[in-house]
Amino acid sequence: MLETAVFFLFATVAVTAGLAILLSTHIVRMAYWLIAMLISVAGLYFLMGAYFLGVIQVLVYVGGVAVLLVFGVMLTSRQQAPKLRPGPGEALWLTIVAAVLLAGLIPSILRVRPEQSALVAENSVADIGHSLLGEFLGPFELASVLLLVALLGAAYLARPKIPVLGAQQKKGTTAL
Amino acid sequence: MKEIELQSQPDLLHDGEVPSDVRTEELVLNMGPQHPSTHGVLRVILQTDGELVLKATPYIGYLHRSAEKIAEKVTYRQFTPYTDRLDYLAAMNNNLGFALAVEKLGGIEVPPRADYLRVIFAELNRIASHLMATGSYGLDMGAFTPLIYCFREREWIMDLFEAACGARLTYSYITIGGVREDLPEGWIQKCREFLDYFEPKIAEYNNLLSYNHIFINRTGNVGICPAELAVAYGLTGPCLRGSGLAWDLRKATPYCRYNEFEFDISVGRGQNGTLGDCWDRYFVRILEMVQSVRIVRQALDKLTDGPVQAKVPRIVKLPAGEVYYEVENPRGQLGFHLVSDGGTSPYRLKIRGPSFCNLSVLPVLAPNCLLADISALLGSIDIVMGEVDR
Amino acid sequence: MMYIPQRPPVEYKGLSLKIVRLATRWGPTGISLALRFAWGIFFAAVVALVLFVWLVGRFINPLLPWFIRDFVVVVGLLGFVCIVAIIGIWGERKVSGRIQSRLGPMRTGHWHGWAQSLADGLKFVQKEDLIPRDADQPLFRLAPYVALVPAFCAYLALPFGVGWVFRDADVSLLFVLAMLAIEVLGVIMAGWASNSKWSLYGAMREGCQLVSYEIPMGLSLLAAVVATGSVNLITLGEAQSGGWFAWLIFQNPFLFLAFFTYYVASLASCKRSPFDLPEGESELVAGFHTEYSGFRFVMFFFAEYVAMFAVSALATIIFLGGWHSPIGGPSSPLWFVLKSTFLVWVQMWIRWTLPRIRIDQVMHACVKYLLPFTLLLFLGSSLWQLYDNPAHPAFKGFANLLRGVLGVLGLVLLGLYFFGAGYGYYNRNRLVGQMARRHLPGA
Repeated sequence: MLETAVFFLFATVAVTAGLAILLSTHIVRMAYWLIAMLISVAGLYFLMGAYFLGVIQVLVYVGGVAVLLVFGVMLTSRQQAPKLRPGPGEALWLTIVAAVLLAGLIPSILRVRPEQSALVAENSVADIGHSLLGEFLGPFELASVLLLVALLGAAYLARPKIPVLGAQQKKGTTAL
Repeated sequence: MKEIELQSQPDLLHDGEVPSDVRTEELVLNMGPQHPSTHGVLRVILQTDGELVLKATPYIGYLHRSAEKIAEKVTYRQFTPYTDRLDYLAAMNNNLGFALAVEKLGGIEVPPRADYLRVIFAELNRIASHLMATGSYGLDMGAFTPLIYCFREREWIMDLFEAACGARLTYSYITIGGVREDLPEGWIQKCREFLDYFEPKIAEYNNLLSYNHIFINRTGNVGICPAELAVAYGLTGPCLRGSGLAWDLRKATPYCRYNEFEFDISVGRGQNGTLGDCWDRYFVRILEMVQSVRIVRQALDKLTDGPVQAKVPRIVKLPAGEVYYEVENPRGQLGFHLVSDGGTSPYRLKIRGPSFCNLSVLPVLAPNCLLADISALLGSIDIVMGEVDR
Repeated sequence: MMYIPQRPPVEYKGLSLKIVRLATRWGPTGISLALRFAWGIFFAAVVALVLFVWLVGRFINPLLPWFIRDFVVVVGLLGFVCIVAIIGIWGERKVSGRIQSRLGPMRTGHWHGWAQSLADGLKFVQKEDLIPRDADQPLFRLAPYVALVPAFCAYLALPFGVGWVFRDADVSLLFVLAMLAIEVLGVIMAGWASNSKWSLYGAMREGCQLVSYEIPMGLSLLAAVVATGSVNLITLGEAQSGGWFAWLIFQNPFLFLAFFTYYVASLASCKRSPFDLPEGESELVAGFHTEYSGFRFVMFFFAEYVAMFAVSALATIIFLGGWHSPIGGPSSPLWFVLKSTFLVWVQMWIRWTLPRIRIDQVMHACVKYLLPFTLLLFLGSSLWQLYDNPAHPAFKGFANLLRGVLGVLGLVLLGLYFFGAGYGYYNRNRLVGQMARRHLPGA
């Protein structure tokens, strides 16, 4: 009974945060609503018994990805967020697309039977480790290659382009 | 005079290359008159691109007290306390400069005991001033402890001064014609004790701060001031000597019997980083403290008996004429341009404050520094706003 | 005899007078009485507390419903955390004073200013609640709690001993790390919401720094995880029973170094000097919490000391044997608290000795030096586990030799430290400044 209550608490927070992201106009607040949502999803993972996944969700998503997101958002929007509301035509299209997606999702959700819900796994960390290096070795290595590519791309994009002192020198009398 | 060719930093805001892709916004930061690391009421407007400083403009005048105008209204003796408050951390040296200027114009001969006493107090004040500079520089860099240690030593010096003249910071001790009064009993003994206690402390500060890798990384290769730039901007004192030029007024144009003393000119050598960086300027001050201790020891040995004041009337009247006299302050060369028209007050007294000229190099050294380097720069130039604004 | 002017005694007025009276309640006449009984009262209180805890644990505990038990434990943890913060603040001021050859707080509470933190708390509570008009109101108010609550949550999975933990989670190490990682957001929020460029700078630097240094922190801890095979903090602690040479720090040369890299990375993660650029007292006034006053500032302050103790506690459990005694007696939470306090004290020591590192140098140090080094340590520790098993008997001898050497080295370092401390204490009058009147002429 307590589990259901906690589940509904986390789920409500997640859904509310998601809605707030969509409906908010202030971009920095959107970022923080995203963080709230990620943390409540981590709470849902804990509830399912997937402790490792929940902790990694907080560590990586909230502690890493969300921080970078907040950085980017804070540095590039010193003024109030531009109007992010869609126009009427866009709103119509968006509603149609959302309805189609929902039509696909809802039957899948309803098809899940209660017995199939996740079991609490003993020694979950060791199990995950074994499967990552055993059954799922291929995807694991591919994921690390992908991360490497992303790192290289980021390093390339962030290279300095402003000329460093020494490249230009002017000769003349006192400049001031 | 040959035209000095400068290599001035490119003015990135106007003629530099502007990259065409996404550019983070430039911030205009105000390091306001109230700021822990601007060493007084100095306002610096920084234009930064993220962490990189593009332009720095100092605004001064917050401590302007019209000392030069007041000089035209008060008599020469009455102006001595005003000189205290110029560079309030090196008040004895200011008094000395003014007294020497007046004595030169008035042709007043100072007894030898007064000369040696002047040297002792000026050098002790140099030690105190450099301790303050070193301590607050450590504080700017985030090392809180050297500040307290330097203040502890400085307390000792201030106690010595308080015993001699009654004041801890603004002394008015070195007056026209000599010093105000003779030393109390036991002062020389205490002074020697202080010197014996203090000399090993310099090694302690070196271990704590000067050779600390973090400190060297913060101050080495930062704010490099080449020798020509220093000369062109009129830098004097440790700022000039930190760039490698061995120029010290106490050796070049000795006053007050400095030619009788043996001491070296402390010059920066670019040991940790480039020649002329902040570390060099800072280390020159440490070396100068060692030399000052040497000078005080010699002066204490040379101290003769006799009067400490020449026979100078209470209201000093100087013959008409002008004199420009410079002395070596802890912060640079303090100059008094005294124009007299034969009356009891100067017709015009222009004070060349060393910190004023030293500060003028900040906008040249600041571009291409990181924000944290501005504190390092300001601390190494070591300004006192009382001298900048007068 | 020279006339040396004496400074007049301090005179308080108005509200300050009330606060000083409150903090130094017992006048000069009552103080001797209070002091005479102070130790007695203190010990009686400690004995009563221990008795009460034992009683509750032994008899009442199984009878209560789980939520009452949990509630009591959480309140106890909260109390412990607050006491840690209060003693931490007072200790910092005393330690900094002693390092700077001065005394630190001496007046409030009449005994070495022990009530200074309480007086400060009172002061902060009665301050005006200032919020800049253009600040982002909700985020500004939320930020201190986002900084403090995760730091407290880390204690929920932190064991003080076997059975002395709120929830023994299987992934408790990662849980603690995750909670400490959320704190970053609170600081960034504070910097942004203050609507001040200076605070924003502090927040930016801090975000960079914290996020970068989490990686060497985690990798150093992973080196130890590899040695024990579990992420459970209790398992990690229990693997080090049996005296000081069983501590994980001495098992492995890589673990020996991993302790120091973890310690350095944890300094950066707590924003302590030499990595305290976000708080940059000399440059940005107070960095990201410049605009915070009163109780909101206290939250940030608390969060710092709570996080300090938490990372020291992690280091203790993982590297220094946790709750096991080094001399082979019974293990108890007291050893854990003692060791963590020692590490916190070293953190304070480092803070008051070293200057501040610039942000680009901080990032350089992390990415160019610390990160590759910790990767090597992780690799080395993993390889060590590979060979340290019965299938390679020759390596076993070599490994034991190395363990012995490391253990002796650790003991020697500890001995040197105590010798230095003793020497300094014994010669403290000669070494420390001699601020006595002897230096005045005529005295």
